[in-house]
Amino acid sequence: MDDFRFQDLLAEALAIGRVPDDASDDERTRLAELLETASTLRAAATTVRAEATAALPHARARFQRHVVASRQASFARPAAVLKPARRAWWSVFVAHRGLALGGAAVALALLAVVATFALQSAGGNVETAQALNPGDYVQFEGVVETTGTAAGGRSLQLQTADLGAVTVDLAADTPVVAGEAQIDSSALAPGKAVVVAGVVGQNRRVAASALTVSAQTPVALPRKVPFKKLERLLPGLEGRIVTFAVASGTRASVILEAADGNRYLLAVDEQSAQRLLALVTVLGARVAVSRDAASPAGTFSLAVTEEPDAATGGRLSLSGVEGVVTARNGTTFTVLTRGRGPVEVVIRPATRILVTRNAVDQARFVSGKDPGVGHVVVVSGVLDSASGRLTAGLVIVGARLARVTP
Amino acid sequence: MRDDEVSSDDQAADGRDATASLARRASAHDPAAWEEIFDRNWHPVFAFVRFRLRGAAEAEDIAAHVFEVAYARAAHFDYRGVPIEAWLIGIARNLVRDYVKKRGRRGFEEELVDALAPGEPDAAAAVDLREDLRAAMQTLTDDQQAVLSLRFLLDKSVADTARLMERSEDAVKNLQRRALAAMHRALAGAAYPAGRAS
Repeated sequence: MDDFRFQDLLAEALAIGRVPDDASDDERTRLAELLETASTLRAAATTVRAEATAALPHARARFQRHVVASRQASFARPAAVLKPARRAWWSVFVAHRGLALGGAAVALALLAVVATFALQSAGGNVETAQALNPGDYVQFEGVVETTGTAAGGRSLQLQTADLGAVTVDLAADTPVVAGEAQIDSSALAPGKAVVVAGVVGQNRRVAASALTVSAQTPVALPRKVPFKKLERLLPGLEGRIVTFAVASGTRASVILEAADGNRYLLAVDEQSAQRLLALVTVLGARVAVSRDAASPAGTFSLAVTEEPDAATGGRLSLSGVEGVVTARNGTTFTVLTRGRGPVEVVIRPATRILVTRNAVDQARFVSGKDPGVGHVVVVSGVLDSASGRLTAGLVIVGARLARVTP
Repeated sequence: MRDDEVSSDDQAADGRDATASLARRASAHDPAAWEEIFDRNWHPVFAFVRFRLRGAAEAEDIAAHVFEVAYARAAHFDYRGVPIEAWLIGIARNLVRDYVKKRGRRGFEEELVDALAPGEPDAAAAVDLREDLRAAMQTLTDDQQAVLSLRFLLDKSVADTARLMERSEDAVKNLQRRALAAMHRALAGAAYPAGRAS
């Protein structure tokens, strides 16, 4: 059979919707098969069009926000920044495709927040602000300088090597762990070294979702250690994670302490962040840094080369799970995981919930109107060994799994 | 007869002028031009990426990003008769290719799909687009996916498809033949009656 003749016959068949009269028997059989396949695709086009129509208002609003934000950015940008060779640090956020919350608008908001932080922080600097932004979920180390009371709980003034002075608020039900036991927060005294997980608020405050005492004997307050923002991959860069921050469902950053003592702030790609969160604890993990060519500029991949020893290292007593939501009852989810089977996850008001790539409407998910059943989630939190429940500090909601309808 | 020909030519010239004007305004980041471009091209761009991705939410995200990328690159768009739609489709192809490549390396969700998908039936899945079509599409080459999307999801003619893919019409016919044959094999002949997809 002549390929050219057959492709012309097929083109004609597709145009007229039936097998042409001059086709041979053999050609008829093949043409009928291909017409049927084309018909299947065309039938699906109706559904695709309906989906596109349904998505249009949301997508249009997103694009309009993008246009407005881009125009504001171009108007606001000083001439000196327009030099093409130099990229503003926040351009990594604009360049990231997964930034579903309005792209440049968010970058602008972050820029404003950074400026505010830089002004608020008497002892801080711009680097500090880049690592700590309101709304971020963070894990970091510090030493208690003073203690006090806050609404419904306690507050701790911490000194940290990377972030400077930070106030940590502990609610009455915030788990505080020393060794393997939960302790009362009143036992936290100046000089205690602690690791904290929580959500950054205004004025350099962090609402803790968990806190672990990492050294029982008093230690000296740490001195601020400067760090550099990593823009380009340094060959062979490895180090220990000393601070971890998740800003959105697709964006995270770490401060890495390299073997030579230098510290680097680097944006990590989405998959690296998710893998880190699925570790028992992120802080203290030793990682190797690489670059994925498909990732946005200034974003790096991390491969864990050595997991921290939570038992002996005094690290944050967190557990991470990844799986699929199979049921929800109010603030309790059942997450089906591969390694542990079903795990009950409880969210609290302080839980940070992030969504990747518009996977779900965040407000509807938080309120329970969308229970999130079928969605992939990564959860980091405190595991209650007695009940087996995981109290979440951070939940990242990913795509909903497609299922084959039989 | 002659009058008709002149009129038709004039209409075509007017259309080219209007498109060139739209392209110029788009290059200058005119919001009204971009609104028009978005409304004209949202459906084709969404349809083009839909079957290459796992769900409508992913398609919406990528399709929306196509316009954001286009807007960012607008100043560099050289019209010269290249349809804006072709430019957007080109961006969409690259974004999908990068996304799928990256996702393939990640493996996180795929592993979970393999491990967990054969679980309890989910009533909500009924609204999902035909998973078998999407899976079959994944077995095709990038060009084959593109030709099927353009010809049968976007209902483009062979000539339009050739222009959008920057190929000759013969090349498109050849590609379409191979793509449909590959799709037929991938579906293992289990074609569904029209309407089941919805």
